[in-house]
Amino acid sequence: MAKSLKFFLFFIPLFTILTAVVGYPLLSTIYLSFFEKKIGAGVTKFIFLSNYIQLIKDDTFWFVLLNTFTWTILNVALTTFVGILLAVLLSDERMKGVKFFRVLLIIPWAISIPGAMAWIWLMNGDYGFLNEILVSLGIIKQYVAWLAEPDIVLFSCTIANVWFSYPYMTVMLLAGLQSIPRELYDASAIDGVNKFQEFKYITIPQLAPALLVAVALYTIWTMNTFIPYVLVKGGLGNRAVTLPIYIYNLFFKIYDFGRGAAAATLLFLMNLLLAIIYLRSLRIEW
Amino acid sequence: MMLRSRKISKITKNTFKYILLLLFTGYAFLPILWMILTSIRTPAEYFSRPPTLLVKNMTLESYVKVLSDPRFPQYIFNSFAIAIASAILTILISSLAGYGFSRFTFKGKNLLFLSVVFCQLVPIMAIMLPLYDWMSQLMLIDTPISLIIAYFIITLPLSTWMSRAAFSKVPLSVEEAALIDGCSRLKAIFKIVLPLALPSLAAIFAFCFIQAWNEYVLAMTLINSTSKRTIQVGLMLYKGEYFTDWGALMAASTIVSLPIILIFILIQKYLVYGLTAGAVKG
Repeated sequence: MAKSLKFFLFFIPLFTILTAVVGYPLLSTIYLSFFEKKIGAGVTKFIFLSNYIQLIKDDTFWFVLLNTFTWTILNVALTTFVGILLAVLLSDERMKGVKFFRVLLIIPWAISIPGAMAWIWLMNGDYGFLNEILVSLGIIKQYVAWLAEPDIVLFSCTIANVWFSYPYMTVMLLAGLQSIPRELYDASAIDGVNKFQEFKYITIPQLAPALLVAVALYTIWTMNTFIPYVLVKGGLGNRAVTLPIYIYNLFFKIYDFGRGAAAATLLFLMNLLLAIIYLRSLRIEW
Repeated sequence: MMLRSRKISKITKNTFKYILLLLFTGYAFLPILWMILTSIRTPAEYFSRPPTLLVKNMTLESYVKVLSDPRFPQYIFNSFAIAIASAILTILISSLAGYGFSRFTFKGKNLLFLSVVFCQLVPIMAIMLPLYDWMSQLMLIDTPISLIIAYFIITLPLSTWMSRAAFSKVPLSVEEAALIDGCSRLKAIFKIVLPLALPSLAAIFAFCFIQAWNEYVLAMTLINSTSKRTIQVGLMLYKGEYFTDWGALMAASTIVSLPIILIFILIQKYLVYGLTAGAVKG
């Protein structure tokens, strides 16, 4: 008994803090979502599902939800593609300079707001260098105000956001590739398997667990990032507003706390689904 | 003959690989390059069309402007103090628990560990309001303490995970040998286990520092007064709604990112190990 008490001492600080900063706030958000609570209105009134029903009836909410899905799918697809490509390129240790590229290519990971500021200026419609590159390559004919055109702003944000996040994906997948036993490739080489078959029948299935973990974690991250907010400040008629930004506005600009809590609960539930996929793929025994 | 053609096809294949790698390097460095170039130009030059990579009259005016603004060193100091405090506390708490997770066996341990991982997956917006509430009841809003506490949300779960992996790497037999030699458990931890796990713990420390240094959503919510802002939020505010001094903004951005890039390069080997050890091998 005394011994197990000693065990607990190791975990008490961690779990006290996590309860205070995650556990309790999460439960109170869910609780609050069943109440009407606005600034100035003194009484908090239990209204059960009204906040949720109001959200469902609100066109802005659906618009934002669609944005969130578009944003998440675009980013996950592009980042995963770039991640796989780079991981495969960087896994060939016989190639000269590979270790150098490994260090070089993950540098964007280290930078946060300065990187976003650089992208805003790089994508500037008049003085940004991106337009000059694309025009000289013949990809576009005229300069484009990347972050000020409502129809493309989510796409432009994606180009910048992938920059922040592909290093993470590459690193995770590279580790996955490196854990594939060499013998599998040697055996298939003896059997006369070509490169494409090798990729399809060995690399992809062997990489699948690492891929699942990385994609699930990255999907959660993308869905919750504030990068679109940093890049366009929620302008352009909600075109670059995703669910977390919408919730932030409900809390701190519109002060409709109950409805914000309902939207936050929905966001949490969506994340929970992804989290379950993630936790299951870790295969930790319960 | 056959050998030669195979060699040639290998060279073309590698060339193709290098071209791809260089393309991505271009993508990775274009914003950084543009940031640095703008920071050493005059406004007349960076507000000219067509934009070009050539710098005609190099000037450090923007740097002088940024460094002579008293807010800038203040923001850097705030960020630095908060990130250091947050990293120190995180490493203490998480290595304690990480050691526990790697060494003890008891019923429900995995469930306990899963709940830590789960905390990492809860969206900030799903905890923001109640967190703000209890912090304002304790008069913590607009103090650095609020951020130091709030940053546990981002740093603690992952660093517990990473330190569990770090301690698992230290063989149990080494520790047991020390115990047999008459060391107390605490002494064995401090004299044997900690020194062996130190490189990994240093990487976790640096990682927590970078995460706290780079954070901006909590920082813009929990801090209101100008003098207490962190550098990330400060940079966002440098970018005014209608007029932006791009030279100064890019100079400030350069000063903020270069040290972090350096730390990152130094620790990246450990970082990559720590992050992937648990996740990939399961």
